[in-house]
Amino acid sequence: MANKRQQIMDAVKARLQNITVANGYMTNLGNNVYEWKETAFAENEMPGIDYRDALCERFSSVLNRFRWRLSVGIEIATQNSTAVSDVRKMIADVYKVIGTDDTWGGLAITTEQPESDEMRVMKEERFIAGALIGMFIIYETSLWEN
Amino acid sequence: MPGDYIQKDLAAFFNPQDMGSAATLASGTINVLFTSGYAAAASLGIEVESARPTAIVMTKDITGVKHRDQITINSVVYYIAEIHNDGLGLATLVLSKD
Repeated sequence: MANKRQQIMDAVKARLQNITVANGYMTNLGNNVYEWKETAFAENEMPGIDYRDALCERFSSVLNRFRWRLSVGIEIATQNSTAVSDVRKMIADVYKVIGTDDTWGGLAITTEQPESDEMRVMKEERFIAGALIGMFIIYETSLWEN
Repeated sequence: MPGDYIQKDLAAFFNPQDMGSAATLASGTINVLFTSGYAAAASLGIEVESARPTAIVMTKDITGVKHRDQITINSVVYYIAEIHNDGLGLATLVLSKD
């Protein structure tokens, strides 16, 4: 069985893939979900999400139970003439999908509401807009587990 | 007028039979030097494949042309995003598909 962190990240991927208009969201961002994407978004990969679990910090321990704060960064990218307003919708969709169950199926204790998000607009051949959202997933493991 | 020969000779560089391309503006067809090299757009760690299409034109051919005007090159419609005038008879149009 996969370790807790892997299970949580699998749940994050599955959850982000739920972001489709058919599921009641404003965008189809969930059609292009990538983990630790190493290459630039291509035209056919947008709108898309890339998510990364770069940092995991232990912040408390009680009786051999260790509580972790897993930092997950979510990047959104899209391009076209309505990219800016589209990204605002995508940010709202990401918040909404996280909020459907902030324990990730009982794997985590909770997920902290992001304190901020950040948008960027770039201009090359097309209008390109993106956003970064950071969330913190709190979960617990036994001694020497992660 | 001094320098006239430069203007006359410039046209040769824009010949569609050589390096130039025909481009259609609302005011008519002109010849341009078109390039569209790869340009990654990157910010905040978000990186997107893109291109930076530009067209070098003779300024005498773009009188009255302004930002957001359409220009069609190789059957692709672009909007003029920026006009960089070099003051010597040439200008670079920065183009966008949006």
